[in-house]
Amino acid sequence: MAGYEVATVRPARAEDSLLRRLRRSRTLPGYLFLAPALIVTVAIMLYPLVFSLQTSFESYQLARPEEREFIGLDNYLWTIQSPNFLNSITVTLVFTAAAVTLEFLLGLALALLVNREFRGQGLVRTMLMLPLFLTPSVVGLLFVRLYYPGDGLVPLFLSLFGLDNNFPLLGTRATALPAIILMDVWRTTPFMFLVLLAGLQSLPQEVIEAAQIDGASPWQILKGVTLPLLMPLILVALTIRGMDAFREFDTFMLLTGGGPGQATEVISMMAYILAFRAYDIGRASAVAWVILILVLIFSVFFVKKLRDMQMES
Amino acid sequence: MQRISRRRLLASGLVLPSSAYLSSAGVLPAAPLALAQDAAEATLNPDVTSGKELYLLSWDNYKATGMETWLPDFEQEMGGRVVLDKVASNSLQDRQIVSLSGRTGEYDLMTVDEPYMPAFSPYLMDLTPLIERDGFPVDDWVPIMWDAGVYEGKVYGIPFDPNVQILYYRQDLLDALEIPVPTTWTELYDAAMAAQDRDNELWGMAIMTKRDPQTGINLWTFINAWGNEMFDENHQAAFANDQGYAAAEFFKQVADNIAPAGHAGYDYAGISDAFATGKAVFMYNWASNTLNITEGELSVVADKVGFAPPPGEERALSMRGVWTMGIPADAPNPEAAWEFIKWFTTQESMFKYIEGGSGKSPRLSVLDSERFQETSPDSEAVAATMKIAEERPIYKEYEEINTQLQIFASQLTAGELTPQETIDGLAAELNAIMQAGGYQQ
Repeated sequence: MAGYEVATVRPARAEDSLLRRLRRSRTLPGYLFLAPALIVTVAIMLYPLVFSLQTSFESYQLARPEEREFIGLDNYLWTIQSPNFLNSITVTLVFTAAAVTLEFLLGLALALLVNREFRGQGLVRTMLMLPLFLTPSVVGLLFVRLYYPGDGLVPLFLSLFGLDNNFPLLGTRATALPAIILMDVWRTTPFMFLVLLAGLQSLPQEVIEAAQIDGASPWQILKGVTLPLLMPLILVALTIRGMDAFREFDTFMLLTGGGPGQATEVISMMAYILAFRAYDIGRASAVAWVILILVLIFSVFFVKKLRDMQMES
Repeated sequence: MQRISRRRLLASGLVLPSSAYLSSAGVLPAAPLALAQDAAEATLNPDVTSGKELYLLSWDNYKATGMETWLPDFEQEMGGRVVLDKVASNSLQDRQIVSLSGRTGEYDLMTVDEPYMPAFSPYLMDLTPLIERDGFPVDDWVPIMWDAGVYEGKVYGIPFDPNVQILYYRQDLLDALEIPVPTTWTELYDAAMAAQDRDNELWGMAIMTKRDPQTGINLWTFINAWGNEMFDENHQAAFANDQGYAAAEFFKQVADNIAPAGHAGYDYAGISDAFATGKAVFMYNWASNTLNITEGELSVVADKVGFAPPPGEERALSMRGVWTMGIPADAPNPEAAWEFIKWFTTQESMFKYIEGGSGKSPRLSVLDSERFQETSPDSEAVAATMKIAEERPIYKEYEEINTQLQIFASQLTAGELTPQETIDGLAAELNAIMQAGGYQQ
């Protein structure tokens, strides 16, 4: 009998205890309030990821939905062996390296220049940040006009130096990618500027003052004090911009469509063409996952570097 | 202005092959075609549309702008309401395939450009039974234009806006030099060379060469005009030969010598604007550009322009480009959507479509009317061009094919590839696409 009593009483106690604990819990309401947003976020972020991972292992063409089948790693093998992949990854890396380096150097120079008290500093800073508020598609359309042969402002300006104002800056292999890099530098240098200016303003002034008292030149201060102190922020900024530049798509599509030939066909465009021109979702998903893996490797490298620096400091 | 004779259209030979095809598909009766002016309309049934709200996915350009001015008539006449969802033209097809393949059921109707019909067909309603049930006046459609909505014997879209590429020329400049309107590409090239003034930015021919669908279409045009077909009956690329090389060589010469300097930077609108602003002697372009030339705000050549069918070389031809109205297979209101299509393609609606500046009509009775000819200064050239219009490669892989055409054409005109490398490389890529699609063994 006693056994039966135990069996009936214990769950009641456990239930009672659980309810009591839940009632007393301070974190539960927080989780409950977060739950709807969390569920939606996970659904929105996770479902596409899982779906694209699944389709990357399938032969799945939208124009032939009835022929969908599992094909293992074939799409990944095709991607790696495709000459288009080699071309587009090269274009992407050149673009990313050139654009982010220029943006960093310009952003740093501007931040150093503006990091002082002067009349109209608010206006100057606001003006410098303006391009950041424009969407990539708007910037793309703007630069299509700026580069337009004949009456575009850029060719007209270059004609002052002897270049034909009808020169198609976006139409030749030699100039198309540099023209897009220039556009990207104009658009996203303000981001670097903003981050680095915030970093400069948060640096401990006593360290810089100490260096000045010790007779260090401005260049020595920059090299030996400012940049090392800014390094964690620089790494964060380079990581964010690097990942963005690696996935750049809109402006390439608007300015050159990947041409001339495939001279400006970046990796995101390759995925787009596969998905929306060839309707080959399987291969497009495989390319998208390769992009994700490459961006992950890139960001893990920078994050590790950042962690090492924090450990050292 | 010379009136187009429907009899001329019917007699031109473009009717019979197509109608025979449609007859075999069960769409057209085998009996002789009725004269278009007697064309009846399918009976409209406002009971089906009354109170319904139909969502129509459409281009966001002059076509939709024109339609918006008279679509409210649908509510008055049929009791239903049409909500236009306008999408930028360069992303319309993306939106369509996402919506269709996702089976979202968000649209009752879609305007579908003909090259996408094969790829979209798994997701569109087969309209053939409705056409037969309601006695839809198929025989009033220019047959080759009707074909644009047909894939593998089934009708997936009702053509409502046919387009062909015609030759625009500066009548005043040719008259001053006593040069006749060219009928071959070589004649056009010579005339352009004679009439252009490159130092003063008057180019021989407004044409674009950047990587763009239109550049691919230009290469397609030259390859075909030089006597080739893109594919043979075994789906093999059929243009890697001397005529193909000559066609590519001609395109390169056009780019080098008579196209605007900076042609590789021009976009589609820029080409039309260059001609409209008096910067080119010739333009070979879609007839939908006519309004920009004759009534556009920028135009300075409205009273100086002439229209002609496309030049030939080995043969004269124009690419056919037809917009059709389709119903997604998962449309919430398919019957009401069908009633809308019937209403939208009546003669009266078609006139409103044309007069709203949206385009032309594929209906013989409309094309043959004085009302149409008064509205469209290019009507004679368009009618003549419809006779020689040719369809693009009807494959689900059309976009892949055109992407390769764009890539090779832009490399050819940029001087990165020789004409022979262009043609051979293009043929190899197209064969690879055909092989991957399972067309070639």
